[in-house]
Amino acid sequence: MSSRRDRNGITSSARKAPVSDDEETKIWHFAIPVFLLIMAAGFFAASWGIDDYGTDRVSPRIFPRVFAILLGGSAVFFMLVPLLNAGGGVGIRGFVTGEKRALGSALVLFAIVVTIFFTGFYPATFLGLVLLLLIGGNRKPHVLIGAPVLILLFVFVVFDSLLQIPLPEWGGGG
Amino acid sequence: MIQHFADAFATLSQLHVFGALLIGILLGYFVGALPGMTSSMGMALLIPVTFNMDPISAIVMLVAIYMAADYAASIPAILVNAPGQPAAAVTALEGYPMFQAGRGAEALSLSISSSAIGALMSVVFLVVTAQAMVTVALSFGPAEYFALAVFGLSLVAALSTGNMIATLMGLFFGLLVVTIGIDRISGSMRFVWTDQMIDGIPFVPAMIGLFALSEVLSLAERDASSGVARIKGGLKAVMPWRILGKNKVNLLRSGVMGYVVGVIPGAGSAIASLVSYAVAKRASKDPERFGHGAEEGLIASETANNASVSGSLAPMLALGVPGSASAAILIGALTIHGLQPGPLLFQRNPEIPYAIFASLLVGVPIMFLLGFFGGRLWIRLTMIPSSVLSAAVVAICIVGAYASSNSMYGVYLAVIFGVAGYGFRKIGVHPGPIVLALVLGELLESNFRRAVQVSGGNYFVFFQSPIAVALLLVAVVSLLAPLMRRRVWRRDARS
Repeated sequence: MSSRRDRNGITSSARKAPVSDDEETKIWHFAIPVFLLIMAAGFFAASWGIDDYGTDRVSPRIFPRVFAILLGGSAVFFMLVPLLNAGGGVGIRGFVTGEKRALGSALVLFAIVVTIFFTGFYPATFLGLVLLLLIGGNRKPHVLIGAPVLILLFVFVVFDSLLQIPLPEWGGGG
Repeated sequence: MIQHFADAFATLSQLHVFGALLIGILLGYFVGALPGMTSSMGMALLIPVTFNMDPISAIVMLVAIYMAADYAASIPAILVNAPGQPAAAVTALEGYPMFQAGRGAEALSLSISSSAIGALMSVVFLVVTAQAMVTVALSFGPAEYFALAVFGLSLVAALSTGNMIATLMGLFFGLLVVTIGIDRISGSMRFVWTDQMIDGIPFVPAMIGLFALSEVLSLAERDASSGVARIKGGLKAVMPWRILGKNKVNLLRSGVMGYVVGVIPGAGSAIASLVSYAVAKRASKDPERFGHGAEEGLIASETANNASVSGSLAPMLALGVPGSASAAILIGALTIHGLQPGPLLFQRNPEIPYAIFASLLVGVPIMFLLGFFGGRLWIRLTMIPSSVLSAAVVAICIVGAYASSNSMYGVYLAVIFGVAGYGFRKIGVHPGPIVLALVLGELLESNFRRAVQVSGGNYFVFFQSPIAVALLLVAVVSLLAPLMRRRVWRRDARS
C-alpha cells in the first residue's frame, strides 16, 4: 500500500476514513463485557473480606455485592443479546487500523508512566510525546521535535514556574 | 439575597477574582474551539490549576470555562462541520450549510447572540429556582436523598443516546468503583489493597482519565489532521438584529426548554439542543429549510445549549446532584476546596453560589464580546492538528493527575481510567454516566443506610415520604419508558 505525505507530514494512510461502527466494534463488544464480568466476580468474591462489625442495620458488604451482581448481570446480558438476535454464531472482528493506533497510544501512556520512575517527568514525557506524534502519522522532524519541546516549555513556564505545581521526579518523588 | 448579590459583585470586582473569570472565559474559548475537546474535558484538565487558588476564584474560573466552552464548540461546528461537543452537532446541522453558502459571519454572529441571550435568560431562572429548590431541599432527609439519587441515575440510563444496557454497565461500573475505600458509616475497609486506596478513588485522576486521556485515544484512531476553514464571504461581525427580532418566541421557548432540560440530572446540553431544535422545526412555517441553513434551527440549538449550562448548575448547587458531567466535575472541585454542594452551601457559604450567579451575569457579556469580535482568532485554533493537540493534552494530564495526589498513584489511576474510558467509548458509553455514578454512588448508598438505620430497620421508610415516593415512581417510569417505546416501535414495524 503506497502512502503519501501531505504538507503537515501526515501520511495518506492515516487519513483513511474509519470503517463503519458495525465492523469496528465487534471485538470490543466481547472484550469489554468479559473484563467487566471478571471485575464484578473479583469484587463479589472480595466482598467477603470486608469487616462487618454488626453495628449497622445494612451491612457494608451489601452495596458492593448488589453493584457487582448488577454489573456482572448486565455484562452477560450485553454479550448474549447479539447472539440471541443472530440466532447464535457471531463472528469477532479484530482491531482495525485506527484502533491499533489508539492501542499503540495507550501502550505509550503506560510506557511514560514507567519511564518517569527512572528518568523523571521531562525526559520520559518528551520521548512519549515523540512516539505519540509518530503514531499520529507525523513524520517531519521539526514537528516531532518542535511540538514536544514547545509543549514541555509551556508546562515548565505555566505549571512548574508560575503555578508551582509539583512535577513527578525520578524514583516516584515530587 | 440583595446583600449576598452586592457582596458577590464586590468580590468579583477584586482583581484576582475578575482575572480568574477572564482567564476562565479565554480557556473555555480555547477548549471549545478545538475540535474534539469538550467543556468537561477542559475542566477536568484544569482542576489541578485551581489547587493553589482561593475557592471563589477557582469555582468562578471553572464555571467560566464551562460556559465559554459550551458556546465555543459551535465555532468548529459551523466552520469545519466538526462539533467540539455533542450539543454542537445540532448547531452544525444548520451552521455548516450557512457557512457553505457564504453566510459564515451571519451564522457565527447568530450563534454567539443567541448563546448570550440563552445564557442570560437562564441565569435569571437559576437565581429564582435555585432558591426555591433549596427551600424544598432543606426538608429532605436520607430517604428523599436516596430517592433523588435513584431518580438521577435512572434518568442517566433512560436519556442515554446509545445502547441502554451498555450505559447501565457504565453506571454499575461507576457505582462499584465508588465503593472502594473506607466505608464512611461503619469504618470498614472495602477493597483497599494499598494505603493510597483508603480514601477511595480520587476524583480528579478519574476525571482526567475518563474525559481527557480516553479522548486522546479516540482522537488517535481518527483522521490525524483537523480541517482548515476556508472562509467565504468574510467574517465581519454583523449584529443580526432583524433575524433575532423575528425569532423572539423561538429564543424564549428555547431558553426555557434548555434550562428545564439542563435541570434534569444527566440530560445535559446535547439533549437540550436536540429537543429545542426539534420543537423549532415543528413550529416553523418553513420546516423544509431545516438542514439547509435555517436560522431558526441554529438559534434554537444555541439558545438551549447555553441555557442548559445554568440549568445543570441548579440541582448541583441546591441538591448536590449534578445536572451534567461538567456539573459533576464542579462538585468534585468544590469538594477539593472543602465545600459540600447542597442546600447547606447556601446557609454556610452563601458567597460561593452568589459568586457563581454574579460571574455568570458578568461573564456572559464578556463572552459575547470575545466571541463577536474575536471570531478570526478562534478560527485559527481549528487548524491545530489533532495529533499535536493530543500530545499537549497528555503532558497536561500527567501534570494534573500527579498534582491531585502529589504522587504517581494519581497518574497510574488516570492512565487506567483513560484506557477504561476508551473501552467504554468503543461500546457506545460516554464518560458522563460513569462520572455521574461516581458522584451519586456515595449519596445513594449512604442515604439508604442512614434512612434504614434511623427508622430502626424499616425498609418501607422510602415509601412513607411523598417526595421520595414521587421521585422513585418517576425513576421507574423513566427506566421503563425506553423499553415500552421500543416495544411500540417493533409492533408498528411488524404491522
